[in-house]
Amino acid sequence: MHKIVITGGAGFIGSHVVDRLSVEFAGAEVVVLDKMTYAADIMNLMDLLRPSTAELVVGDVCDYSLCFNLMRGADLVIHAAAESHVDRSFLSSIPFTQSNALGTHTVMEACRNAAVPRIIHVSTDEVYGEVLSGAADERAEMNPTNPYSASKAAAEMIVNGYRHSFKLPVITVRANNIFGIRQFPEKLIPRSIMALLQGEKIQLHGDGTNVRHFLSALDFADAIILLARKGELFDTYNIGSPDEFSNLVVAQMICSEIGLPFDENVQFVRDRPFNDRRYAISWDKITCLGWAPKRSLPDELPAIVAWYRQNINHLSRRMKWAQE
Amino acid sequence: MRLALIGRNSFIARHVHKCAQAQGIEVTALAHDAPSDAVQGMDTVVNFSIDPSWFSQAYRTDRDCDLRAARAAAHAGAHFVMCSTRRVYPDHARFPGREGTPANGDETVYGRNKAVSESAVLAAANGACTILRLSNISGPEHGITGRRQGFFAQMLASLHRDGVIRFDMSPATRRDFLPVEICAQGILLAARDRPAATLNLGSGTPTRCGNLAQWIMEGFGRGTLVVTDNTARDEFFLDMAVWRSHFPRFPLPDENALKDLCINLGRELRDA
Repeated sequence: MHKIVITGGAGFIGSHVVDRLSVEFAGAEVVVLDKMTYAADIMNLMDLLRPSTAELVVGDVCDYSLCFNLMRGADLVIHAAAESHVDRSFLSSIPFTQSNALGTHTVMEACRNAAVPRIIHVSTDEVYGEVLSGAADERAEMNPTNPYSASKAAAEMIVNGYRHSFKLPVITVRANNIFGIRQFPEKLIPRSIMALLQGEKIQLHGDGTNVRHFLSALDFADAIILLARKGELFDTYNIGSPDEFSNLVVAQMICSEIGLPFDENVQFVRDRPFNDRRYAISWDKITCLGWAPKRSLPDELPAIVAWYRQNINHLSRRMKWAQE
Repeated sequence: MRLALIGRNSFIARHVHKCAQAQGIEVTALAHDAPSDAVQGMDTVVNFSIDPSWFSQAYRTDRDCDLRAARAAAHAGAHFVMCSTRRVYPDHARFPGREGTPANGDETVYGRNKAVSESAVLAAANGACTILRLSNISGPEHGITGRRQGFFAQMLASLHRDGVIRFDMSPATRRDFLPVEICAQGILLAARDRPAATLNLGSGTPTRCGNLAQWIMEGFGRGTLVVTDNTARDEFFLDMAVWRSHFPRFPLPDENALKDLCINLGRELRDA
């Protein structure tokens, strides 16, 4: 690989993929395209921004000419840019459709015209909607239930259209809830950690019994590297973890790690307008390529809490800025 | 207060002049080569002028603009304010730089010359002198010509010209940046209160240079950050305890103010 472009590379998931790209494809030019919205942080790339490793381009994936110019000559494009926070999508959903659907359309069109030979589109397991029992494989129908997952499903439809109409060599990935360091403190795990570190209570939607699977960002990045090398073009892969926990259990784990009693540090708040009870996917297809999750949330949590403790001042400022 | 500003065309002097006018202060703005008797009748003299050789050649008394201005102020019975630099702090004593530590200059000729000049000014002013050690002063430097090619000026110029900000250092490099408007207010405060002291004047907060580039590009709408060397270099910030003891109500900026400054600079550049 000579040139790799990754959109959303300064965000949480993207920056972990950039970490792995810089090691696995050492010598390749890695171009990070990121709009640098509230959830992105140049700090996520600090160690990687150096000659012949990575460069940051601040811009919008909806900007076609920018995308086309960057993607010319790319051997691989990883499209990870997205508005991703479900709660925000209930409050203001149009930016989700703009970034996730129109942005994906723009990236795909730029890739088509730039004749990019391999594209990985990062989607989500939420496109399947609620899976109350069993697990959805890649052939299951999409049934999104909130503005965020609907915008991601719309993006997938556009990708599918490009696959069929233009034989665009895209691989789509649908992953579980991803955890790790650098995640902006709005999702359950980092938000709860930050709340306790700031002397506040963890807020849980509804009764907290909703269930999610939790996948390490490092395992996810490993999967992307594998698919960059061996993934079947035009195909879709689920990327999952067996770690299934209710929000209540996750909150208990965090309280325990920080050393605070659960009962006194959790507050139940009004649920989302609609909140899927459970997501579940099977990831047998990527297992056949040789990938398996290696990390678990209980094992990783101490290091994650330590990272948020170490960066609490910087993150507090970013949280304040995000509210402005 | 009757205030004389020597070196009226400098980046900082122009902001001090504007700020003084807004406060109704009577200002006499002088060129760098104004005769020494031009400061007669003044209460305070602030010097911004500097000899071009200051950045490359060893100290010479006859090229010390601060010393010349300090002598003129002393002759006129006026208080003198010297705008010195954080570069008087040697490399090992600038995180933070504190007024009490020996200040013989850093690795630059400019830093060493200013350190020598501080001693000469103190002697010449006979106590009627305030020395301000300024951090990196930041503001709308795009389009400014001449010697001043500071960190912000370089970022703004290359972003406007090429759509690129180039770093020859790690984006994680931490420095102390002070918006020029706040710097101007601080200088005016010192000129009015005339403390016989050496004071740091910065934000007192180390900020990562990469964040500044991020915020400027955010305001500009787009841009590329290219890093040619990932070494952290020239890190510093100023301890502001002494300043706070003199001016406890002076609002020092936090990182929010720097973020706003950068985003606004980016927007102004986009609309230029």
